[in-house]
Amino acid sequence: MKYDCDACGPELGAYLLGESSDETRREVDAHLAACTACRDELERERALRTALGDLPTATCPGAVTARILAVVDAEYAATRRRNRRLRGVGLAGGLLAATLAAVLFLRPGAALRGASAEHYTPEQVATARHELIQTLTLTARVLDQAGRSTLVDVFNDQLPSAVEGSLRPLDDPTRGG
Amino acid sequence: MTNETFHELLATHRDRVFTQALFSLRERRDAEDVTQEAFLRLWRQGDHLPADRVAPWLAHVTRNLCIDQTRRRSAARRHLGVADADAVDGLVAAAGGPDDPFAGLDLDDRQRRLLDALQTLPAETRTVMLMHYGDGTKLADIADAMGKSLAAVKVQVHRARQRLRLVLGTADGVSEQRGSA
Repeated sequence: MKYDCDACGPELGAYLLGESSDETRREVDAHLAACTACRDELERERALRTALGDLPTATCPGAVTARILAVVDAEYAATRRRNRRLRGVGLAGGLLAATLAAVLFLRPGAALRGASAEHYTPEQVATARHELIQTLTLTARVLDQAGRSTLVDVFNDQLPSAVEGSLRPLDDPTRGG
Repeated sequence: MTNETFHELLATHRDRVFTQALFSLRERRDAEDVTQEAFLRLWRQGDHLPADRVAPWLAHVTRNLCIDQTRRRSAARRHLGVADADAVDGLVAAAGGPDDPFAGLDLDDRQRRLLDALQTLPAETRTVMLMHYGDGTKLADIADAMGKSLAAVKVQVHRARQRLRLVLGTADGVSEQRGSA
């Protein structure tokens, strides 16, 4: 198909910016060599590019920048707090799973070791039941606190005090749970 | 996107976005609002935008926001009614006219005529012209940002160029430069 003015005109912008393919560039070159109207159009294209390129750039007011940054900084801080809480909840969830696994597969076994199912003494059952309640209570507390505290809070404050409370003698009135 | 990355993008692109909004809306306060909204959308876009697509993406969003702003203005005038809207215009004129949106830009007459001529183009076409000619954005990137074919954008630019020539007439700065480049 012959490369004519209708094809050449829309291509001139890309042609001037070097965006045309090699094949199209050759066609435009050949057409321009033979077409005065399109050569004039190319000059107008160049002049318009210069005129629009010479338009000054307005300076964004400092107050606008400040407003944008105020919103962004606040949202960024909120996102960080939310992520830390989610990590805390994740940790607590892991603790809960690990504790449940330990309770179900280890602790009851320790309390009842050596006794067959039909020979549990009332004391063994009471001890296992109490340990289960204490462990679940501790885990629930950690989980609850993690929802409102940071990971650092959980490790440095909530968890040690809860563990310490759970390790006090059963008859200690200050014992947690 | 980290806070620091956004700060850098804001510093790099804020003047360009504000200028586009100002040239499109010709009202500083509206341009400020559009600039703020465009960058908040960029922030909320997160890391889903490659670095080399930020400029055309911002231009595209700014153009859409400008269109929305123009529609709101028109709706407000319709709500006021012709008589009241004319009365408001009269009060503004009596107070010395609206503030020059381009104050401080040091525009010469030729550039003011060019901006007036740009105003006669559809908002999308005006954005394309400012991106392509003013910022040197590649037509392929513009087409990508606007979800159009490259061929369609080329035709759009070509027609806009013809339209500008028609509006500016033979005495404009663009035509005066014919053959000088």
